Formats: sequence, C-alpha cells, structure tokens
Amino acid sequence: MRVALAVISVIVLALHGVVFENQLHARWQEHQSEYFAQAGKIAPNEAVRAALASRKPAIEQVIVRSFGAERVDRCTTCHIAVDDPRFSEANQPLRTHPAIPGHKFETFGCTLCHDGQGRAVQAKLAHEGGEDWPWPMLPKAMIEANCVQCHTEPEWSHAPHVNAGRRLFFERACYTCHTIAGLSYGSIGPELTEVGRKRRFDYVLAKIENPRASNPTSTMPRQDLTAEQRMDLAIFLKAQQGGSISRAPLAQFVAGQQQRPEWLPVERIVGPDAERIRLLAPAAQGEALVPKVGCFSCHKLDGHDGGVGPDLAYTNSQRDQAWLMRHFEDPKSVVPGSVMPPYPLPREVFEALSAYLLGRTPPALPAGPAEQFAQLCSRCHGTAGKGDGVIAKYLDPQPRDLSKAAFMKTKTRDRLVASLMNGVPGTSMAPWGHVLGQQGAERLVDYVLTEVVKGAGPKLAHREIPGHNPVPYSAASVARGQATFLNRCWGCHGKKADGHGPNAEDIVPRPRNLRNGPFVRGVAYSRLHESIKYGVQGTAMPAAGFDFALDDAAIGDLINFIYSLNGLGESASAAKVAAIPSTSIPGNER
Amino acid sequence: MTVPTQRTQDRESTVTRRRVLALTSLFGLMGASVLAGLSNLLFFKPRVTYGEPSRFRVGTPESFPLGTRLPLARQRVTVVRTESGMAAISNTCTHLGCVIATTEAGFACPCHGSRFDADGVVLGGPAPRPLPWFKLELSPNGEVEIDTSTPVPTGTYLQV
Repeated sequence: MRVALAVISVIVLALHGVVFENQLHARWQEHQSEYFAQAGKIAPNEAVRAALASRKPAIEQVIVRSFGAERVDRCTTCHIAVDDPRFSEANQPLRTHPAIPGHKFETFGCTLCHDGQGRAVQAKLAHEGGEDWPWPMLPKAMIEANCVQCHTEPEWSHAPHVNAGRRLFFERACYTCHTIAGLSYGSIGPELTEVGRKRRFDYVLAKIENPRASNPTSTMPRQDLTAEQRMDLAIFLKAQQGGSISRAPLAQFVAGQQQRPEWLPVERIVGPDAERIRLLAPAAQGEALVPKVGCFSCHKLDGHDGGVGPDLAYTNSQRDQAWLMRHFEDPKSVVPGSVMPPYPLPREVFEALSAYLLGRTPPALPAGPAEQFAQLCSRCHGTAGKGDGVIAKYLDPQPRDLSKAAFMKTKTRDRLVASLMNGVPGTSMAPWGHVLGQQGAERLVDYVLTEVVKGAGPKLAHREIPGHNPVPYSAASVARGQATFLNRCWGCHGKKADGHGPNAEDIVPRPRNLRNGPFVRGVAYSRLHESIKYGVQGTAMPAAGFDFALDDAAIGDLINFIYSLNGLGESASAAKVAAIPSTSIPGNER
Repeated sequence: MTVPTQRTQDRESTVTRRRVLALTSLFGLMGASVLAGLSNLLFFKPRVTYGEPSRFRVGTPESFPLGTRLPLARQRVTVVRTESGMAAISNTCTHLGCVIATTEAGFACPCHGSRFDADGVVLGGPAPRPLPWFKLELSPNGEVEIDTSTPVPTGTYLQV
C-alpha cells in the first residue's frame, strides 16, 4: 500500500509537471519567440528591436465574419510571419504567404481557402483536425475548390481543375444519377449538392477510385480514370458546398426554389461546342454527342469501353428507331432490370444519337463460330460461357450460364436458336438474327451445345402442355391464382412477384421477375405453363404441377394472375385485380 | 545483549524504508497540490477569447491621406492622420462605454452628451477622462498596426 501510494503520488506530480510544461512551453510559443528573435536581428532601428524584445508570445487570431458562418482562425499564432515579406525564404511555419491582391488576412482569415481547424493551436489538430473533422487542410492543388465559392463565374480561368472536373462530371455520365442543385437532377445516386462540405476530400477521392471502398453494396460503376482525372473530379466535387458563401442566404434560398427542368440544356453538358454541333446533320450530331453525354462511361463502342453496358456496335441490326427512343426516354420500360439511368436530355439529342447508332456499319463478323462466340457472346456470358462476362454483374436477369447441361440440354434446339435470333424481350439478350442469319445462328447454337455445354443433361419424360389457357381470364381466376401464388411461389418470387423473395438471395440464376412486362408479353402461354408444370431444369424452379399438385386449371389461374400484374388480361377485369397485400398472406391466416 | 541489538537494527531498517516511502508520498502529493494551486492562479484567465483581436493592421500609411479621421466600427477606434503623423484614438466613451460619433470639432457621445475635441480631451458632459490613445507601429509589410491593449499618452504620433 505504501509503495503504491508513493508511486502514485510521484506519477501525479509528474502529470502536473507535464501540464505545466505543455502550457508554458507550447510549440507556438517557441515559434513566436524564434520569430521575434529573427525579426529583432534584421530590425531597421533600435526602437523596433526593443519593441520586439519586449513582446511576449500570445495567441493571434482573425475573426472572419463576412463569409457565411463566423470563423476564428488562429493559424497566425504559429505562422506569425505570413505578411512579413522578409521571411519569404524561411522554413515553415515562419514563411511569408504569397501576396494575393485584394485578399487581406484580416478579412479572409486562412481556413476560408485552406480548410483545416482554425481554432486549434497545435499543428496536427490545426492541419488534420482529428479523425472526425470534416475539413482537413487541402493539398495546394485543391485550394481552387474554395476559390470558386466566391469566384462563381463559369469557366473561371484560375480554376482549371474545377473546370476539368465539371467536364468529367458530364462526360462520365455522373449527372444522370447524381443531383447537384442547379446543375443536374439525377435521382439514382446520393445528392452531391453539398458533398464538398459534408465529406472529407480523401473520402471522395477514394470513392471515385473505388466506389465500393467505403460501401460494399454500392452500385456505382467503377470509372476508368487516370490519377489526374480522379483528382480533377474530386476538386470539382470539393467545390460543391451547397451554394456560394458570398451570396446572401435569401438569394440562395430563392435560387434553391428553381423548378427542376424536364431536361438539361445541351450547352451545359457539351460546353461551348454545343452551337457548332447543333448545325450538323443528325447522324454527325450523334457522333459528336456520344462521347460528350456519357455513353462511353458504360458502353463499348469502337475503342472505348466503359465495362458496364452492352456493345453498341451492332445496334443497327438489333434495334429500330422506336425501340431506341423508348429506351432513351426510359430504359426500364423495355428492360425492367436495366441499370441505365433515364437521360435528362431533350428529344433532339435522342434522335441524333439514334440516327448515329442506326447509321453505323457493324464490324465484320468472324467466320468460325468459336470466334463469333468470343466477339458477340463473351462480353455477357463470359469467355467460357459460364454467365460471368465482364458486364454480367450489371445485368438483370443475369446472363444464362451456357455451360450448364441441365438447362441447355433440356431445351429444344429450336428454342435456343429462337432466343439467339430474336433475343429475349425484357432482358439484355439482344436479337442476333440479322447479324448471324438463320444458318449462322444454328451453327453458333450447335457450337455452344457441343463445345460450351459440359456433360449430358437429364432425360425428360413426355410432356403434355396445353397450347392455350384452359381457364378464361376473369377476376375470380386471378384471385384464385393470387391465392396459389401467395401460398406456393412468393418464397422465391417475392410477395410482389418481382423475383426478390426471401429465398431469392441464395438462388442462381435468380428467380424470374414476373412483373417484367416485356418478358411476360414476349413468351408464349405454353412456355409459361410448361415452366410451372414441369419446372425449369438447371434452375431452382421446381415442377410445381407435381410438387404442389397443381392441375392445369390451377396453373391457368396462376398465369392469369401473372398476366394481371402486367396488364395483359381483359382490361376491364384486370383493373379490378387488387394489389397484392404486403403484410398478410391469404390462406395462411389462422 | 545480542537479541536487543538485533531487534534495534530490525526496527531501524524498517523505519528507514517506511520513512523513505512516506517522504516520497508527501513530496509527490504536496508538490502536486502546490502545482494545482499555482495552476489556478496561472491559468485562471483564458489565453484568448473570441473577441476582436487587440492587435490589428489597418493598411499602409498612404491609404490615409492627410486630414483623415476614419472611425472603425468593429475595432472601436478612430484612425487619425495629421501633419504630425498618425494616431489611433479610442471610440468608446469613458463615461459609460457608448460608441461615440466623430464630429467636425472632435467627438460627441450620443448617450449623455459628452463632447471631446479632436485629440479626445473632454470639452463637456459627464465623461470623467479624455479618450485614450493607442499604440501605433509600422509592421514589416508596411502596414500600420494598432495595438488597443497598449494605451499611449495623448499626442503620441507615429511619424510616417
């Protein structure tokens, strides 16, 4: 006990000593003493020397009131020589700050431009501000992000990084997902209007480099950017601080009330080239616009590849003008699982892009089916056909695993050829009929069946499938189908029939989204009936006709229910179909 | 005889050890309490508050032409330039602390009617003392620096 008391008492004394030492000999006091000593040596006369000798270190501060919230900057406590021109060669912290005409320290302080924690008088806290401080000191190159808070004129020549970043924001299609008030109106990603104030710049930079760095479930595609481009974009985003601090709060409020426009002016996205492009022929306009409006940030075309969306080189043999226009206006109306954002651009731009894509000559087709597979199929289905191509993770439904015999060998060759030639509506599988021709498509399917598929599939028994629905469409039939669905199907297909049931997470391929209108409209009744009755071999879909003892009439009811979800029944009775309740399951109530 | 000697030695050594520990504890705790008391005196006043800095620069002498009498509202000081040089005269009434106005004759307090001449000397009203003058010096970057924490005698001009 005595020993402990003695040790503790000495420790307490030592701690008191440390506090006194820290308070009475802080680093800033040393810096100031050094400044007074050095300035005294070069003082012009004896009076100044005496004044300097008598000056004691004190905390210096600037209170900045003219720019937004009040700031207290004590940087000059250490950097006491910032406006003493005789110290331009000295070591930090005693070096002179380069003079910027019109910017007095007394008015502007330091953190307005440099960021950092102005009230701190310890170097580490002042510069880095601690882990939770949102504005650590900016690297020199990023300071212009704070300059443009007041110098708001567009394309201000002293902020080249901000201007380059703004161009990238449009070229890389960031504007289609993210909102920056007054600039863009995307609603898929988080709003970036105040990102420069709310996020640390190192967070933003890391997020641009790898969108999943801080959020493993982010759906933002990773962009192929150089280090300089990432920096430009980060500086531009740092400049987004939610309005200008040089504007009055009322003016900012009024500016924030502006109506969201239906589409963005082309000039904002394209820059000064817009006027020149407007005078070109539609196809040439499209060619000029494709790299400017952000297509290349996802799609592949010629030498460019964003690594997210399909190859556009074959568009003119796969799609027509009407399809492209519908797709531009709302990609989800033709491919419900598409990740492509709706583009906030005027119709003329869509027409020009369509004209360009439809007017292009597709690249030459290789002769052998193996080379054709590599050129046409592998981007989605993977080089080995396993459904794991480079862009597969961005497609919904995901590309079919063509190597799975249980699926491939249980479908008729005619059905596979038809899927290849006509595409699969509502999915990213495009029609390749015009590119390959009937014989080419058959050769490619045969190649896949012999070279890509591994092993043999199961033998199937004879199947009996009605050619049309045995149950006429009626509200009663839909209600019966709904009851069956909510009893048997929702576990995988989900209560909303959108393929997101509780079991869906573990199932590959994922359960079909039964609200995919283009798909449901695009397949024959008999195929839906067969899939339900006999299951889909090679997927998790069971033979519901046998496992759940559903007869043809019950399956007919189910399909009527699925039709009703997609507006395919008789319109009068379809309107009466109640929305699926999301909280209670009929038939499961006790 | 041997036994008591042994005992005495034992007691002596035990006492020495105890004494050392007791003295160490006493030294440590007394020292700490002295320092703690001292810190109450030394660190009682804050090093800095969020008020207006008492030392500030107002610009180069050339920006104040001859005859200038410029009141600075925030810093509560009037910068004066005459043929004798430059000076900084307080803007705070010595009566009850109102901000005084600059007039042709000198200064006038709107609160209780105190009047001062151009040098801040009381001409009338309830003000008990003349307006204080503050120290002015030329900072290394050529600007005039005013230190409102250091009063100087009335009539002290900075030669510029």
